[in-house]
This record gives sequence, C-alpha cells and structure tokens, in this order.
Amino acid sequence: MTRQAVALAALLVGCGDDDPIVVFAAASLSDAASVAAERVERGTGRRVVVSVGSTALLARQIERGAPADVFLAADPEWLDRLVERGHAREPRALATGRLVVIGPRGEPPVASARAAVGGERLAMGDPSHVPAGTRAHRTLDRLGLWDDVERRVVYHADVRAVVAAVETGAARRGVVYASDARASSRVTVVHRFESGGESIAFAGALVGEADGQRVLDALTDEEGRAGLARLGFDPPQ
Amino acid sequence: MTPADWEAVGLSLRVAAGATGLALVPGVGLAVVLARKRGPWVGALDLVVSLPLVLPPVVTGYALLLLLPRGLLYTWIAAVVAAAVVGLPLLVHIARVGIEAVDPDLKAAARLDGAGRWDVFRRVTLPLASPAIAAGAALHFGRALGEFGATIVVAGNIPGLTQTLPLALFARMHQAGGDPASLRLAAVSVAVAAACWGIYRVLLGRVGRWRP
Repeated sequence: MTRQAVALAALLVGCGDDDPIVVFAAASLSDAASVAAERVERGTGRRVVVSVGSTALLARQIERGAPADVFLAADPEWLDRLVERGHAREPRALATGRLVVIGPRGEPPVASARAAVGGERLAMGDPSHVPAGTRAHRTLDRLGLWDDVERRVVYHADVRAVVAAVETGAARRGVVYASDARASSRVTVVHRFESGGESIAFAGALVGEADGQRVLDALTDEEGRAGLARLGFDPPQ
Repeated sequence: MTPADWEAVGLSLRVAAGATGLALVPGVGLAVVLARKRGPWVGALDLVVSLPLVLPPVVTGYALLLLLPRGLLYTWIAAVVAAAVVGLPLLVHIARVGIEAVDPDLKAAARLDGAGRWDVFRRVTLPLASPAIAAGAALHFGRALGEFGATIVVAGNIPGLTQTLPLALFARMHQAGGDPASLRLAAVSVAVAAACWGIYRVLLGRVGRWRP
C-alpha cells in the first residue's frame, strides 16, 4: 500500500517539474506563435508551449492569475486593459489584418459583399467575446447586411473554429482574417471587404517571466516580420 | 500518435489517477454516512455530493473557479480537483450500494465477538464492500479521464500543463488540418473508456457474491 502511494505520488509530482515558457495566443495568431515558439526553443533550449483560445477568454484567464509568460492578442483593447491593471507590460504592435469571407476550396471570388455572404450558413466568431466576430458583426452591420445574415449565422468560440467549420462543410461561408484563410489549404477567400471592412491590430505583451521577451522578439525582428507576412498578416501601422 | 498526443494521454492518465486518489477516501467516507444516517442534513449532503452528476460541468467548473485558491487555478492540480469533484457522485453512490449490501448479521456477529465499531468497519464492512468501492473507483477514473467542461474553466488549455486528452482533441479539432490528430485522440479515448467500463463491469459482478 505504501509503495503504491509513493508510486502514485511520484507519478503526480512528475507532471509539475518542467517549466516551459507559456505563450497565450489568440486563435488568429496560433500559427505565428508556433513558428516563434520553435525559434525560441532552438535558440534557448527551453520548451515553449502555446495555449490557444479567443483573446477575451485568455485575457480573463490572465486576470485570474493563469501562468502565461507572453500574451499575443487579436485585440489591442484587451491588451491595454491588462496593461492598465498591471497584468501585462511592454506591449508591442505585431501586425494588422483584414477581414475576408471564406468558402470551401475552389469557390470563385465574388465581387459584392452582399453576394459573398448571401443565402448560405455563415460562420463567424461570437461577437460577445471574439474580436474577429465583433468586427465581422460591425462590418456587416455597416454594410447594411446584418439583418439579412442574422438568421443564418453560427457563432464560434474563436476564429480558427470558424475556419474549421468551413473546412468540414458545417458552414459554407465564414468571416475571418486574411491570415486565417491562408492557414488552411481547404478554404479559399471569396471576398475581401474593401470599404467598411475593419482592420485589426495584433499586439503582444509580456505577462510573466522575462524570457517571454524572446517570443515577442521572434515576432518583431526581421525574420519574424517576414514570417508574419508569409502567414498573410499585414505590417503593423 | 505524435509526442504531443502522447503527452496529452499521459497527462490525462496522471490527472485521472490523481483525481480518483483524491476522491477515494472522502468518497468512501461520504458513502458510509449516506448509507447509515438519515435526516434532512444527510439529504442535503446527498444533494451536494450528487449535483455534479447532473449539473452542466461548466457550472461545477465555475463554482470551483470561485472557490479554489487563485494560486491553484490553471495548474494541473486544478484539473485534478475538477475531475475529482465531477466524478465524485459515481464513486459515492456505487460505494454506498456496496456498503448497504453488507449483511447486518455479519456485523452484529463481529460486535458480539467483541470487535469495536472501527474494527467492524475495517475488518468486515470494508472488505465486503471493496468490490463495490473498486467498481466506483473504476467508473470515477473513466469519468475523470473524460472531464472537459469543468477542467477548461478552472485549468485552462495549456499544452503539457493542463491540456488533457479531451482538451487536446478539442484544440486539434479547431486546427487547420487537425482531423487526423483528432481521430487518433478520439480512438485512444474510446479504447481507454471501454477499458474502464469493462473493469467496472467485472468488479460490479463481484459485488455481493463473495462470502467469508
């Protein structure tokens, strides 16, 4: 019995002993975060793990003391709020992005926004807490399309879930950032919002230990910026 | 299976083992109380212990989020506590059935031979109820392995630290091109769950059969 208890204790203690750099990344930035994490791992030999969720979900977790070292947000307002309250420091602009309408691979591009979102089930982030969803809602509203699409929208918990919904055919259209569309080979951009389309600023900040700085460096140095451009992000303004 | 997949499976097994270990002694204690005592307070206790079985796990998670010390949130220990609490009713109710099924004549005979209450519990009730307790523990372990709703609320979704198998599956499902990984993890879940259920059935078959 005692030996079993010791074995159990060893098993349990075993999962507390490695101390990685923890990156909390908005879903839109998950690929960018993985690329930066690999670079930092190669450079420092330390393990870097990426926890992905919607910006608001992760921000709330950080407010409650989650062990994040770096926060990569798809909404500078949330980041500013964390900085103001002393949960994050040294914010940096990372990139900007534009909203697009996606459909399954092979769909032809559509010139008008109305036609792009017309008739089909439309996946988007939940406007109550997903920045991409909030912006999609505002954009569709400004274009006078919201009343038309409202009954056909399906809300998702983060923007990559929207991509997955279009990938699997659960929805035929989705509103995401151009970089999210680039991340999947099974979806294609059918429309780019030109007038009225909101751009978004992606930003990062240090939350925990100073080594997190390396992750932000890996996104903002020359190689990092080139990597973000390849992933479909626009440069920060 | 990639190393990241194995990590999620390993973490899940550790969290579930910890949860069942954590729940075992209080669970048996509660089963004894519920089996022997009657009255409004016992009814209230029964309700509190049983609620996680029927509550949406996200509510249990929210309650734990408000109750747990901040330092524990978003650690693997929070995942252990969440899984322990959500599975507790299964352990308590199955153990209780086993304790209630112990022949009162055997306990009376032991008392007559001079055994104290603790000795009767330790040497008569506990051995006779042990198949039921083990069956309850097996089911608790299976439920703990599958815990999602309360875990994501109190422990977050951090790979290697709190991302258990169901959370890893949920994350993979939402990744571009994550289907093969999702299917692998789903297959592992089915296999482990089936094993837990099989063990539970075998142990349940022994309840009440063994006689000294």
